[in-house]
Amino acid sequence: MKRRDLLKAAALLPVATLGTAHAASACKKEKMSFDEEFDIVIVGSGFAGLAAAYSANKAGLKNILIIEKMVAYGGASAICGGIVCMPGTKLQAKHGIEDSPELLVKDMVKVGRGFNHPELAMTMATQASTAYDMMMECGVQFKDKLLRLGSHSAPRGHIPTNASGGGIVVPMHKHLLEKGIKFQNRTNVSAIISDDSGVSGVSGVAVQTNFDSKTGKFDKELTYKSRHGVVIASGGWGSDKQFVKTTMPVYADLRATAQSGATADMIKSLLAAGSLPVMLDMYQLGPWGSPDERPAGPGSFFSDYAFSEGIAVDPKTGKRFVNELSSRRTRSEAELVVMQKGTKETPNYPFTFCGEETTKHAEGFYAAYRDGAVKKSNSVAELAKRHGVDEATLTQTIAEWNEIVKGAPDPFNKPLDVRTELKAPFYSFRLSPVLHYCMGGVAITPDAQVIDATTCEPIEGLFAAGEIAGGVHGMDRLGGCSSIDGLVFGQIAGRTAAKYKANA
Amino acid sequence: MKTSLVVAAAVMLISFSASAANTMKPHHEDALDCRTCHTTKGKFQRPEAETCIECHGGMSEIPTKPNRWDKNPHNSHHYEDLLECTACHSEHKASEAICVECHVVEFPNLK
Repeated sequence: MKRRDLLKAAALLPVATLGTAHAASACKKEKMSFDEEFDIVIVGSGFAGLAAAYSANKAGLKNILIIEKMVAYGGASAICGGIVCMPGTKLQAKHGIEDSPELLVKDMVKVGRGFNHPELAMTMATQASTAYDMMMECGVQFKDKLLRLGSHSAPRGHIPTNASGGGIVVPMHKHLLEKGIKFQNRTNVSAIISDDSGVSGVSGVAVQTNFDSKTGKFDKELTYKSRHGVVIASGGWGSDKQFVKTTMPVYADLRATAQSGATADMIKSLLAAGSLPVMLDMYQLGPWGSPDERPAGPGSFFSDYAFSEGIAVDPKTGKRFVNELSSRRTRSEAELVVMQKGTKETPNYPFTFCGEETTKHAEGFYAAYRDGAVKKSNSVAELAKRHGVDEATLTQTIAEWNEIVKGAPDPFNKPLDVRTELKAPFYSFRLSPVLHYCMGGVAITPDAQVIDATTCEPIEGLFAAGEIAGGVHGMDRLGGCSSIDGLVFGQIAGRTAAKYKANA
Repeated sequence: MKTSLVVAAAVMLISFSASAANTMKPHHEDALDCRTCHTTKGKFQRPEAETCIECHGGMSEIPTKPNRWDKNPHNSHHYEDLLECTACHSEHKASEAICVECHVVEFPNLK
């Protein structure tokens, strides 16, 4: 243990040097010797990291290393649903869909409540189609249809044929392997290094090899030189309880959709290297979470259909409480208010439910019902008893909804694409928002350069892309847009880094 | 005196845990020695996937048994064959499928 702490301290030393480089003259200039040397080191093997490697390779860099902390490659990108919202692709043209980057930005700003960094949002939207072309070249296959996700003005959701982010990261990973790009898993980056040998800027990373993410044990502490600067594409920190609690105390008890590797280690290293943080306390919540399954389980897919064709009810009032198709933030906030009517130990969980007709085309229903998150009630009485609602009120709420289905005005103005009578048997799902995405991160330029907190100018040789960077989406984001964020800014980071030659 | 006793106890403990760590799967025990899997010189390293594949074949040649959760880790749409064998399979300790971190699933036949 003592030995480990010592190693850790030694690794942090170079960062301390960097942090004070612009201020202190007492700083000792000393040429570091690195254990290994690469053209470029990319931290993270998800959408952003893969895209950075792709474009760095296109720009002519050969000796490219992608570092992954976990055993499995791909992080959140590999386990997500893989939907990518892109305007102006060849697939959209084929289906005759009218869309534009400007329209996407308009949607993003609405959902981001105007807090988006406009240049970043526009960069993402205008370059989205180039990410599509990159995926095509890597052999990614999309279904021959486009999905319109909530709050999007056009069908622009491209779905991988296997309906998983794996359908994107695996072909890209294999394409990059063929190009000779090196992948190294079980490797933890403990610090971002500035060489300080007369050259300003970031020149490498300190790593722990054969790292065990469960115990924190590792074999060796090494330093890797990166001639073209370092690209950080390490994703968010949703599973870092302490960091979430410290930045946003009211979200401390929320469960997260993030995989266990999504810790705050890299954001801390970036801050230690002098990066400017933006919106670190902003998190997106998923309104489709449930106390009866793990975050982002099959019930969350089912609930999208229940929200759309059925209704969501507050057990205390027996009435609807939100437009069930409003933005993720609006819905999640409404659910939290309903939950707070109960006690901390027994929250007043809202629930969404639909009739049997809806379950027949709802992805996730089979597994969610089998595993017990979705429950069947044969009558209003049974449904009312299950959720502790007054039966007469619930009966009235259902009758009112069925009038809306027939054409009566909806006080919540929910858009109705499918009109299905709500009748027994009912299938219900309790709701409890889950922490889904880190809106904030380090500030970047449209060229993916990380911005220095003291100068508000780019830090030489330090680039970031994807969830670890903040500002693109503002306060909250649209579905299917973190994937394209990572793919676009990853590509940009790889290109910008290839041009950066201070240490080359 | 006291110190040497502690040292002796520590040595015994180490050798005991070393032998405990060397438990092997029954079908490996008779046929293999340490260097069959630990092929690199010097300190024992975690074997590369290729070491396992040499005898067992790749994932596509070892289908997962059908299960009530419809999960097939040897044909995962998240990772396909990019996962190392040792992501889930261990030799000297109990194996643990990495899918359980997110999915409700059990593999009673996991070796």
